[in-house]
Amino acid sequence: MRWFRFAVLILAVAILQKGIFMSWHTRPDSLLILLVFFAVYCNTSDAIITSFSIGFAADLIGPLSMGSHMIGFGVVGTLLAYLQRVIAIRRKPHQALAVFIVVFLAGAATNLLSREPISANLFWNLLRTALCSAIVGPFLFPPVAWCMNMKIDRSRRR
Amino acid sequence: MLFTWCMLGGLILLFLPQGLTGKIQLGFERIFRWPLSVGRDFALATTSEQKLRDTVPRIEYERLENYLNNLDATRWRELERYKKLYGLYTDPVWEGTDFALAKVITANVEGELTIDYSRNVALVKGQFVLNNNCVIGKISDASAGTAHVKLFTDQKSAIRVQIGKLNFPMLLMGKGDGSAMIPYVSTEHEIKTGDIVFASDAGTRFLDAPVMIGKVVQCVKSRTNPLVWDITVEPACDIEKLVDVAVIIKKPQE
Repeated sequence: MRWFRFAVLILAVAILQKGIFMSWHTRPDSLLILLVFFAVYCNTSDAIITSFSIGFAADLIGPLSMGSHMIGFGVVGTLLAYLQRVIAIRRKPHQALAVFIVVFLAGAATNLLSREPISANLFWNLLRTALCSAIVGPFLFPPVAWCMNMKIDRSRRR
Repeated sequence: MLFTWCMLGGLILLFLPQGLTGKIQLGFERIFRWPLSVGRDFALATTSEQKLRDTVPRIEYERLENYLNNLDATRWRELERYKKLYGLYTDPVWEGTDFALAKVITANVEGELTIDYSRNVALVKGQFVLNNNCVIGKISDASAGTAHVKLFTDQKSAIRVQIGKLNFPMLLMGKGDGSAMIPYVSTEHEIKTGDIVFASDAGTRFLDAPVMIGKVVQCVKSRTNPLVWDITVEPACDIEKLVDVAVIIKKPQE
């Protein structure tokens, strides 16, 4: 696992998410798409570290209070990493489903953990984001793998 | 064990004071101000509308319309003062008030802006933020050239307002979806769609006169209590296309 490349990638995606995507009504959650990628293609301990790190990056860009994203993303990423030991998530439809469920669960966990009131439109906002992320997510995995110099076309159990 | 340590780190962050974590977030936005603002400019450029010849741009039309409504409210207020004080001279509305111009770095459609202002100016929590002569929100956090603006449409926002010439206090509460509501207004008061909503200067040291904040887009009887109105207010300017804002800095009275 190339940690420096990972740090640069997360920083770039966080800036992209905050600078461009935040001003759209319907937007993919690029950080959660990365979380699913690393949970699926890395070993379990690397997946745990990457999940919590991505959560910390999400905390930095806000707008919720810090800590909620780190815990929410970390728990969901860890669960996905352990699930990957049992069920290989390699095909694009399965990856899209995984992204959809992760965005929903992580979004709900983050909003519950934050010390701010829950929006009345939370369910519809999460649904829109989850659908958009599920459509876009699997197609972003090959370029991310190229950035990280990882091979993703082999099935491997850890 | 790794999971435990990471959870511990997350819990420490979660229970840190919000003032400190707010400063960490502002620090990140200050360090990466340039790439964030480049991203925002790109997002604005992709959503800009094509201009027509021989027409006034929409943004200019809104600015002039809001200025006209503010002038009307100020004129009415001044007339009331004159009647009460029997012709004693009162200062013009903005005398003694200063503005700090700021550039929008990022905008979150749910209710928060990050702005970049000159470090020579001291911004404090609670100061009102203007765009196109209408209030859009208040400063919620400020530190060394970067500040967060909580828009009045944010769920945690509550601003004292008045509708038209009705002179009793009402609270405008954000709904988090780009609009706000005014609860607990009795149906005895005549309120209709299109009425202008002003940020009230009563009870605040940051405003000298009412300033336009939005318009009533829906006014129906509440389903749970037919004796009160269910009033929905939308901003008087396009918050998604904000580039620059102005913060009202009220000088202390001499």
